[in-house]
Amino acid sequence: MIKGIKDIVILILAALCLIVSLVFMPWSELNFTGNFPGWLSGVMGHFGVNKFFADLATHNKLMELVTPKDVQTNLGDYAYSLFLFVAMTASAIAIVLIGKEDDSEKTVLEAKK
Amino acid sequence: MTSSVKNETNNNWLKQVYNQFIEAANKLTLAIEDGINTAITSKYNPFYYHGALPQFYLWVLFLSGLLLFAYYVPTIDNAYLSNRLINAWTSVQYITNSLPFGGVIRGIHRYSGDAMVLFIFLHAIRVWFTDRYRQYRWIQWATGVILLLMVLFIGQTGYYLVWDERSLLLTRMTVSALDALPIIGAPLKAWFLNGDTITNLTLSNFLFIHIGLSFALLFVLWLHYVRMTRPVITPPPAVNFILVAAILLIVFLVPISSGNMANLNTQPNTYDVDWFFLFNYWLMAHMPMSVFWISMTALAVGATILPWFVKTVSPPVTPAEVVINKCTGCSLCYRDCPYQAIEMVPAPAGSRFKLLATVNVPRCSSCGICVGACAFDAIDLPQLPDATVLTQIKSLAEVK
Amino acid sequence: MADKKTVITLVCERAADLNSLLDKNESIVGMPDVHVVKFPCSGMIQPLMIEAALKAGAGGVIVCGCQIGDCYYREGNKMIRDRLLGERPPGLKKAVDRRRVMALWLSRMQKQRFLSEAKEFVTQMAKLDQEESTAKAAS
Ligand code: HEM
Ligand code: SF4
Ligand code: SF4
Repeated sequence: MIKGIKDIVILILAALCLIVSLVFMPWSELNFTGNFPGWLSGVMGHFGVNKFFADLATHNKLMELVTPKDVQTNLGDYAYSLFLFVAMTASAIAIVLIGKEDDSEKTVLEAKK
Repeated sequence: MTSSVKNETNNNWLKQVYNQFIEAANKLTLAIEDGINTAITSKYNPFYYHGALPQFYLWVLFLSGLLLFAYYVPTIDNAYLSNRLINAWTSVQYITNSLPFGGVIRGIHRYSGDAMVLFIFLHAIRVWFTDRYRQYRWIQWATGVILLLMVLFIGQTGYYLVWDERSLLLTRMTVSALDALPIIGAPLKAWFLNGDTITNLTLSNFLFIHIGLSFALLFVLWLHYVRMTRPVITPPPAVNFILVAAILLIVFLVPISSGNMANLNTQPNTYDVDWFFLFNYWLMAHMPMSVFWISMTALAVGATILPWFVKTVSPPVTPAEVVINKCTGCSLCYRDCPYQAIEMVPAPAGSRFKLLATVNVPRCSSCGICVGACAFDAIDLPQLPDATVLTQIKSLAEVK
Repeated sequence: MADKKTVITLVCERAADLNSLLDKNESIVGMPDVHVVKFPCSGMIQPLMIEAALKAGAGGVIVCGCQIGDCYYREGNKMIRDRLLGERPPGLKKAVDRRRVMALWLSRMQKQRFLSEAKEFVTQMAKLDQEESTAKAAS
């Protein structure tokens, strides 16, 4: 299945896309808190997600990275935009890497049965 | 015709310089495209979607604009609504700071506009440098220039809508620019302000121009596309992702904010220039108004008529010809012609077939794609009949 | 007979720039059996022409247009590609030996790629010829 560096890169990119959209996008949508809406919080608490989210916000380096400059409100929205950028770029690069497989400069014809 | 012949003799050195420039530009374009092909293959090469890129951003702009429109209030007065000041500036402020994702959507709208202008220029430059803008393509070129002017003006009205100090300054600069025009200046000014002075009606006019012209773009785009069969208007998904992602990154890195609220009693005098949309205001501020208008008009007219002035290295366009008694009316050539140059008309009386292909001469590019489409040897390029090609192929193919 | 069969190249004059590779017989320098026929656009190439070349005794046919997406006439190379693949009429006849047809989509600067592909194609065709003649001799 995995045949070289390219496939590994594709897997890493796919994982990155998944992690960003499952962890970091919801986290920023909750404004860097673990405060899930009522109907969800029970489930998330059960898995410890809300605590994990709240803990994420204690990492200063991370917070510095995801906080836009010159903005006072809706900080989570901007971080969301950053994470969406990461997810979309990762998936786009992965798609391009996969699509590079087929030769776009040569067409050979299949034998007619 | 006569005038252009005179032109050629008069401007020989000009022609040479121009030719050399285009040749070098063409080589450079090819080299860049080749580099991109090696890196990511032709499938994802953005140069091969040059027209689709601005079109994609237009959809992004329509969508994000719709969301902004839902909350925008086009007034300037300081009307209080139960203790809250409601006007254009505060509504934009509300969108940016309070509305969930409002600031991000506003950023997407702003930067997609910039990106659209950037890619329009890239598109125009590519068709120019690769000699894809003349002869049978003149409609695309001329409507393209109109599209560019419209997009620039739409973007500028967008900047008025925010109604911060910059908006006020731009509005006043526009008014004095219009004032400087003879005869048409006064009515244009009245149209622009929707009255004699800046009032609430002015902002609703700006909003109307901004949105109305945006929809008018679709009509001009139809003219832009009407002579092209199957225009390529959607980039592949991976490219779309990158196009959106790039905007999102800029939204994060350079969040949008408004300046101070416009105050009609003050005259602001400095502002940030958005080089994609507001460069003409910069020019306006740095030269006499008459020079500004004359040079802008000359630029626009010059760009529009460029295709007719360039008579150099014209490949002769000899339109395809239908062999009337061979054509079966199968419509294959009609479907495949890339410039909508073939029309299927009712076959002449007495024919065994219903339809007959005819070539609309001014549209024909002399590409020969119709020849490749015809299985009945019924359409031909006069300078290269397929019968001749066929004999050549056969004689070369024979084992010697 | 040891006569080598020819390979016919049907090429768009805006694709890979073969002009500098041609000798005065319109064949590729160093590959005298590879002949070149130029078209204003690869979209002008009729499947019929490929059939005719093979029928007249050519060992193989190379079709060469610009990079997909870069056709000067917008979509000529996509047209001939789809015709060769049988996705757009008119297509190749069933009887045509598909192994003897190859299409390349190369930009103006890619003549080296053309040369290497053509060389490989020629040896492949020679191998095919040999296989076929031994098969014929056996039967
Ligand atoms: C709103 C801005 C514009 C959009 C969305 C747009 C879009 C497009 C699209 C989708 C095509 C078809 C490409 C193809 O399928 O081959 C096209 C072709 C063309 N455009 Fe534009 N365009 C815009 C502005 C311009 C401008 C400013 C110019 C030049 C001044 C221009 C000149 C042309 C020309 C000459 C062609 C024909 C190219 C050919 O036939 O190969 N366009 N445009
Ligand atoms: S040569 Fe044929 S396919 Fe090409 S533009 Fe003219 S009519 Fe259309
Ligand atoms: S493809 Fe040939 S036969 Fe068919 S309509 Fe066109 S010219 Fe006539």
